[in-house]
Formats: sequence, structure tokens, C-alpha cells
Amino acid sequence: MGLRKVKLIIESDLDDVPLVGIAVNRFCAYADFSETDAFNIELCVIEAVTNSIKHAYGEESGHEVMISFTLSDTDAVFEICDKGQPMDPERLKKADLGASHIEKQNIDSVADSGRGLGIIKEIMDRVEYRSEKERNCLILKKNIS
Amino acid sequence: MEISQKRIEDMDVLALTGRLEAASAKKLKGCVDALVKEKRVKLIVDMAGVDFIDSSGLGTLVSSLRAVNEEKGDVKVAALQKQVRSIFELTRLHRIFGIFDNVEVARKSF
Repeated sequence: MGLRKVKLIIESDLDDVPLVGIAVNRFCAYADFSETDAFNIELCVIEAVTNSIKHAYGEESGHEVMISFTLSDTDAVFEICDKGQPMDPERLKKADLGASHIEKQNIDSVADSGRGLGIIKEIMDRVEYRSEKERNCLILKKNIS
Repeated sequence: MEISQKRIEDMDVLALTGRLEAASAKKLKGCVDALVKEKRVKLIVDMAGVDFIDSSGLGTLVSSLRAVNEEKGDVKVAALQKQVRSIFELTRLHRIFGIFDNVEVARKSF
């Protein structure tokens, strides 16, 4: 298979995020990922797009989130880009699932939010963040086994 | 996402259908907040119709659990689809929720 690439642009509206998820899932099926991998990759892209809308744009409508999927013989790469407030790269470095202390008896210390990047790092084979020329991109790579 | 609500004895069953993610999680939060305000804090979330969940959806379930716990209630989660369950396990949140095969078993656990 040669290189295949799809680009999508959505408005910074959380109601439009599921459309990206559906497209990613179909793309993954085309790339012969398993149903579980397709679900997990869809989740990671949704987390990244949601982060762009919530954090880069502060949930303000009227901005764009650009998503591209590139498929090669060896991997699938997903780039999620915005032109909003850049993320502190330390957030990505430090992100984890915060799961080691999760127990019923300490529910008060279990966070409501902040799991997105941890989930992405857990599922994807490679995660990079680039912020240059007022464009911020989270780049997610999944190997094709 | 659609939410249908049913009262069984002193329990409220919230049957969700669709995707539980950032936009729809707000709807669930509003529904739970309204119940907690009326001190209806024995909740069963029927997830049989939920085919996708993200961290915002999970976060809303965690905040719902905390809110009902404060009023001596609980949130039981029923009928998780396989992929959705795997995300509960990945994030270890299955450790804080009672997770049951169906609503009937969840109901009996109260």
C-alpha cells in the first residue's frame, strides 16, 4: 500500500467532535486495525481534538481544528493541530493515568479530569507535540503489526 | 447521547444510548445534579447502549459518584460493552465503581 492521507477540518465545537471519531474509526478499519485498536485510536484522536477545543481555544467557537490521518505500510499517523494557546510541553512529559492510587476508599483523591494525555501515551506507540509558527500539533503514531 | 430515566423502588436507573464524551457528558452531569438535589442518590447507570466513552465521560461518572457518596448514596454501572469496559480497566476506574452485568444484578447489590 502506498501513502494514503486524509485531512479534515472541524469548527471548535464539542458537538462536532464525534464526526472526527467516526471518520477515524472507518479509516482504521480500512487500514486493517483490529476492532479494539480502532476503538482505542479513535479514543486518542477524540482526546486530542477535545483538548484543542477545551484548552487551546477555551471552548470558544469560531476556530478550526485540523486533523490529518496518514497511512503507510508500517504505521498510521494522526496529526491534530490548532492555532490556539500552546500547551506547556511538560504536561505531555508528565502525563500519566494517575491510576496507581485509585481505590474505592480514596475516591476524594481520584481526579475528574486530566486523563486524556495519559490515555494517549498508554495506547499510542509514539506521541509528539510541536508548537511553531502559531500552529500547535499533537502527533500520534500507531504501528501496524 | 440519549438518557432515559426510570424509578425502581428508591433507585433511579439512567439508561444511556450513544456516545458518552465531552459534549454529551454535560447532559449526564445535569441529570445527576438534579437527582442529587432531590436527595435521590441510589443511581444505576445502564451503559448497554453506550458504544464509546472518553475521559470526559469517565470524569463525569467519577464526579457523579463523589456527589452521591457525599449523600451516602452510590453509583452502580451496568452492562458495559466490551470496548468501553476495557477503558474503565485501562484507567483503573473499575476499582471505584460497582460494575454489574445488567441492571437487575446492580439493583440487587444496593
